[in-house]
Amino acid sequence: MGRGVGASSSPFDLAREPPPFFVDWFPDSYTIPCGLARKRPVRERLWYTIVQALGLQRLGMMCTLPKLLESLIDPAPLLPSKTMLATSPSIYLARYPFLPTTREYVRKRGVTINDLSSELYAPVLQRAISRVELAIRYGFVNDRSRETEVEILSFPLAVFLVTCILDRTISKRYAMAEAERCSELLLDEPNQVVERIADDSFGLKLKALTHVLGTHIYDFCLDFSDYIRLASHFSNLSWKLVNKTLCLGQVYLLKTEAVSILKLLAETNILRAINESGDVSPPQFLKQHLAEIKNMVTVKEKEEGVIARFSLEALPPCIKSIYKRLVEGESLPHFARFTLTSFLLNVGLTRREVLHLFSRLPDFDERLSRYQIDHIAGSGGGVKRYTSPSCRTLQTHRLCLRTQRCLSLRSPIKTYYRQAKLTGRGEA
Amino acid sequence: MSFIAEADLQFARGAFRSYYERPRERIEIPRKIESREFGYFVFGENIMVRHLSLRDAGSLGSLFIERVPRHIYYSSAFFHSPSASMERKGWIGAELVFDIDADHLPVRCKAEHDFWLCKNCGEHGPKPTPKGCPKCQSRVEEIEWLCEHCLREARNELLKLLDFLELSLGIGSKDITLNFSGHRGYHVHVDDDHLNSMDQHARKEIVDYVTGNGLDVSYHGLYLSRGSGSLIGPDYSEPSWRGRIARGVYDLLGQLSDPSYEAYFSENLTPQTYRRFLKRHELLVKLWSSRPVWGAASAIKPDDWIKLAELAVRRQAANIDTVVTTDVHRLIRMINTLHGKTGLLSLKIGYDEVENFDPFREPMLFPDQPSVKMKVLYCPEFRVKEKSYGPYHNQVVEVPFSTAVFMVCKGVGTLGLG
Repeated sequence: MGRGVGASSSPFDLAREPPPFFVDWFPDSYTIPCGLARKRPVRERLWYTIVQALGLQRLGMMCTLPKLLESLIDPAPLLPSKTMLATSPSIYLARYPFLPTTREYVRKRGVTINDLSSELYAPVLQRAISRVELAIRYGFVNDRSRETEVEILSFPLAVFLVTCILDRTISKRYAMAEAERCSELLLDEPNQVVERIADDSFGLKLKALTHVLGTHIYDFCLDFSDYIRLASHFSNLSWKLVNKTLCLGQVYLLKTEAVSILKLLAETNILRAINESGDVSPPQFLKQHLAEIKNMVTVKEKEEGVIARFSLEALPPCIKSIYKRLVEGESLPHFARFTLTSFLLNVGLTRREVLHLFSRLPDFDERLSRYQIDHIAGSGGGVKRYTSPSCRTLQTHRLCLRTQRCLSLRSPIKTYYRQAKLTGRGEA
Repeated sequence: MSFIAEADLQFARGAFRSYYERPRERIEIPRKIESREFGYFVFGENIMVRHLSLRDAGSLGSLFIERVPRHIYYSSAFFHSPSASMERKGWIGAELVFDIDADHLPVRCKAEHDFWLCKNCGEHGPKPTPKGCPKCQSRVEEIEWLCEHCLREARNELLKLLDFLELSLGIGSKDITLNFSGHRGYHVHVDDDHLNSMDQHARKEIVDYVTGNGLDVSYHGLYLSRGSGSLIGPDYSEPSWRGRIARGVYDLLGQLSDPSYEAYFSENLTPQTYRRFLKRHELLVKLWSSRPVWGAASAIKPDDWIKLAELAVRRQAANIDTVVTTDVHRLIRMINTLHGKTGLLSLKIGYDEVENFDPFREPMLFPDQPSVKMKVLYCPEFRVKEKSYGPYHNQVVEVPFSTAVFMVCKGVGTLGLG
């Protein structure tokens, strides 16, 4: 652990900010290939040129293309193998900050908050700020685990920053974003690594297996009492014990399910780390940055305010009810989600705004939601842009709540526009 | 339920005392006795004495001799201070308890053997119970009778439950204690330190698992294939609910043509679905005999198969009293003690003895001698060990001691012969 850290002349062997396009692209390609941002500027530029030339930014090729390039240029796999885990454990410390070894490592490094004001640690500070910023803006933190030192040290600093903001929503959002990052990485880890991380970090006895039970292949199993405790946080019926394969006290799980459980634990763990910090007063050098972050939050709130005013006043009852359930974090049936998404996209909300709305859902899966929103918007490879379901279709699916306020009996969109016109005139 | 005359109360109490005064090698001393709450009823009083704490087996023994309890219960839960009020007890954990009660089973015979009885003139009749006796206007009492069929059904449910506990939940037989309730059911105690700390929510999930509540067959491998549109379903040998669904459907297919199940199927399937299955049942049974052929016979729609699978789920589920399992503060009858409503012992049953257990033999532990002369107001036919008794109506009979205790406790016979 910490191989080569002490020997290095600078505490950061990887002290470089990513090129600007890296950040510019972020909203549309959140699966940023780790490692490409450093050391290989030539290859990076090459990749960027190819992607731009082919116009692939929007086609979700971000992940596969660099991997393809990587495999052509460099025979070493992009993802660490088990041997890499043995030789370079620090990458795991950078990826999973809730590992006890990561904490131990940070403690041993003995860096204090005031040390971080020095120029030497500037990259750490920058990364910490970017972590918080990305979490607030996009609900996702990118992975830069190859820059191990920066990554390891910036996490506690980011937690410190979030603690200083003293805002529960931000804390929650930050914890969710970091957990999301971890879960994406975990999905790509070998099962044995996931098993090890679950045990080391949370004491969870998740057993990796390649097990065929009947006609089904499972990746993990977990003791049923642990499973019940954790699965109670998921509202979907598929998480009920009665809908799981339970054999000799073990619940059999797919990798995605196991990672969802770990994501939940990671979020709780990070949130606890934030809450346990107690009252902290930020040192002078952080105050400006904190002000910037706070400013960003207010700007974002204003943006959200626009959406809220925009939609709420004129929404027809059916859409308003779905919207309300969504805002309250209730898990929605698929057709309700489709109705809301297609409606909002058709009345002019951007895909990002819709995605942001859906991030409130308890079973929010950013990758999946993004794909579905893109699909409905007719840009995710699909040709058709979906229109919002008609009143008649909504009746069939028992989502119609017709009242006297409905200004059209054919489509909720008509009602919306007519209502918006009326309200606008009233205000004028 | 009350005794008909004071003499009956004294008779039953004497019988109970004679049992409890014997060396109590049979009474099961509960594990962690000092952490449990105890409660009991004595003869002649209808109020439970509870929030009791007993330090050891000795104090439990003296309670039996001094108080001669008509019913005695202990908490499945462990507390820091069992004798404190409910809020201050300090819950540590609780055994996982299951109760199978014939009262909760959908048996048809219930209406036949439960009856009301006038304790004054011996008039009786089936439910609904009238407000007063139609003949003499005195108060009538409802009597729940023990029926062989009900108890057999309850035992079948117990076997299903044990299958769930052992094969699905992986609970070893050494952690499971079984006992006859002494009346119309069975109790199962699971004492496992790891499971004892489970909260109500976790217990509810277990209840839902064994009762199949909230089960969606599509999560158990029964769905329409997206490509071909054909129905895909689980195999017999699969674990968990998957195999149970397949085996359950096979059982149902076999019963389709059985006239005794006609009412059952017409109650639970739509007439069209039932007809479609019935028409082709011979073919289906043949096809299914080696392995499940979901979607066989094109006239039977996938929805029909799903309906049948859902019926199989209900059939395969263990019918337990859900409240008992989810309540983590519950008092439950002590094992190997006498049940005041029957005089039967809540006998501990060995794990392998369930199938051969006869509730009208082993729990009847009173001797046959001396025989007792008593008046029976009314009672249906019943069996004790090998011998059948009744039906009796307003007649004086001479019966063995054990049978007399049973009838006196049930409140249908009296020693006050006047």
